[in-house]
Amino acid sequence: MKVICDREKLREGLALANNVIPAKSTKPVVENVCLVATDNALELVGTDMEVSLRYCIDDVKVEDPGTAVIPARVAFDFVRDLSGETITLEVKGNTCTIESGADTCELVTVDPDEFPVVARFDGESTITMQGGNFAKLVDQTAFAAAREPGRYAMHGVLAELEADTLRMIATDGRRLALSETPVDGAGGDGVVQCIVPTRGMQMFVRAISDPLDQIQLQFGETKVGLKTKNAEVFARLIDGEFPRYAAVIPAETTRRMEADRDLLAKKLRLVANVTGDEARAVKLKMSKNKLEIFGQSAGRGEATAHMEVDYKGDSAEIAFNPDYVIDGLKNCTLDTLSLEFTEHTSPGKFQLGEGYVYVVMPITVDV
Amino acid sequence: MESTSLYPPLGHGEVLQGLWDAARSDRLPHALILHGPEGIGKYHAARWLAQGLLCEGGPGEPCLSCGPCRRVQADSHPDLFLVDPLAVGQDRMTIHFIVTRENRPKSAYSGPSIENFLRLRADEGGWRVVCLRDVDSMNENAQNAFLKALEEPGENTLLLLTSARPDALLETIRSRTVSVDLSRLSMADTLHILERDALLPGLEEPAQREVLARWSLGAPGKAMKLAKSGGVPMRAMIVDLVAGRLLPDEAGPAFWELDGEFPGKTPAAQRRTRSAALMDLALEWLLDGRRQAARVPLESLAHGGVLEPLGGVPEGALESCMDCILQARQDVSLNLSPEILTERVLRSLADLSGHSTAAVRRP
Repeated sequence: MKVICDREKLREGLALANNVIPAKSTKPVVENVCLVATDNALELVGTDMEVSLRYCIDDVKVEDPGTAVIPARVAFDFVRDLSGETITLEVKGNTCTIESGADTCELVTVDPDEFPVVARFDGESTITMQGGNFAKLVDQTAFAAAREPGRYAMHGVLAELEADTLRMIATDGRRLALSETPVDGAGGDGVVQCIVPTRGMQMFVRAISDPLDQIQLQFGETKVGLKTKNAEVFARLIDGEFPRYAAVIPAETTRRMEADRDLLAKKLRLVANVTGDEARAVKLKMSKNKLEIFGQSAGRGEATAHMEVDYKGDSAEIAFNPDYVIDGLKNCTLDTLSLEFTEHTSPGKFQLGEGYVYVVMPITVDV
Repeated sequence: MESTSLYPPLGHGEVLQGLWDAARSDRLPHALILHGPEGIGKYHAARWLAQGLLCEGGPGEPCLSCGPCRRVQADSHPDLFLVDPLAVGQDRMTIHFIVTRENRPKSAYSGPSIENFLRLRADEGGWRVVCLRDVDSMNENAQNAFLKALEEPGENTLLLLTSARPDALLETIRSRTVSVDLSRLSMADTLHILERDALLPGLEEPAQREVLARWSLGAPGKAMKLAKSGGVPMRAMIVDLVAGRLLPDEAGPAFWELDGEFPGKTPAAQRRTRSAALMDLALEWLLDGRRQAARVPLESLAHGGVLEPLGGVPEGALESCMDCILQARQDVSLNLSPEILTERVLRSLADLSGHSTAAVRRP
């Protein structure tokens, strides 16, 4: 294999691949990046067995097509620190030479047959959408996925394709985020559901270099794939049953409050300062067009904040973990959000955007 | 964790073929426990079985040339998970191999867990296989955590457990697995395996390989372990002591200079392991002596060819020597001086020479 390519493009590709490739693994072969030179393109392939990436660098001069598997971190560090504009990659026997100007580096290669098979986009069962819209769906939901060990079905984002709508849902059992957007090409009658690991979703977003570019999504039995102009990313699906989320979202509520997003976030942060780690709760007390936010901690004291809201019902109160509410408000696309609930023991439903619902379970506090 | 050997496991071909046949007709249970004596290649057979399931032409004998076979050999197949505590420097299969826990101790296993592996669907679309070596090294917590994987393994999942002591497992584990009995290898197969590994220390000489093959009774793994830990010269020392050809004062220094690998993190721990190995071996040899006295056929005894010095030794003397060694074996685990305990054992063995009809009387 012999390829001449632009240093910056190779650096970008290796940087992205290294987001997937583990620095240390019990399967050492995956600490490498696989370089595949064909016609006028160089493909970088990396995987950690859960998420895999193919990154294509165009406009390269392939003098001798071939494949080489080389240590990913070392290759990236060396290419990053080179100063020349072009790089020559050449494989001879078990050695891959990276050369730029007067600087060279010889890396030991691994048998390509030992490298795991990385899926390729085949164009079947794909949907198309704008990269920015996809990234927005992930940003609006992935933060709510569970992180603690166990309950693996909640360690990912449920992607649901129904008619011409792509819906994403994530929950950790204490809060739930649901966001949906229309897409092209879905069209099927049934509902396609899969649980994508959060890390896979984050890697999908990282691979989207321009939010205005169109991306393609492919749903398979065991994997879901995303294709951008230069990259194909595949994530293995989580084998489990996602909680029945529809039952968690309140269909009917008796109380509704509308509030300014930024002001509510600011007041919540203010009051949250006094709440302790052991009882992280703020109480929202609503009366006619007024909201009082109250928080206290045995060792710190108490705080109260007031703000104008649009609320017309009788006086009511509900308490939440302020961190959960603030997490949701960060992704709110509306200037004025709404909070709906029935009782202080029933879930609070925040409408944070068009097709974007965030449900937070209340906390019972004696204050 | 450990690369798979290129060789098919000798002696277990028919059993594996039966399991592949069962897989082809969708009759393979989701959890098997391959059990049999130590050193007969149970874990090797489990990996070979897994490779045969993952092979492109499978289920069946692995072709060794297709992509999945190459990846299994290189331990880079995403749908095969090997759990071998010894290969990652752990002496037991702790709960950290089974589930991922927060606040894990620094010295604990920190790699991916079985739970982590099973949470994802198969990467290459076929089987997901977990091979566990010596599951009897799991403590009760680990076994209870493993129950979840046994009860809800997911689709196309095979859990392959291996154990020389399946009775040490909880009933709840045993009742959820199908037992597959692997038997000892023939003398010819054992010798063939030892010849293949003739470059290993202790296996260079054909005569030594033959001694070890007979000694191991069809367990080449045990023979290799004995070769590594200087089993042959150690047994010769015991035999010579009882036969009166060696005095305890000569045997002591020679014993501590024997070549061999004795596990242990510190020199003191290695000395304890060396001492314990001598005691275990002496007990095994003396037990064979009692079996011989009970008219068990010599060819079925591991030490059948070297029991001559025990001729004429009365039952009572044999028993008191074994008691002495057993006591020393317990004491060595209690951190008492291995040097003193070893000397006690050597002297106790030498005392038997007074009764032995085959003993050489030295002035």
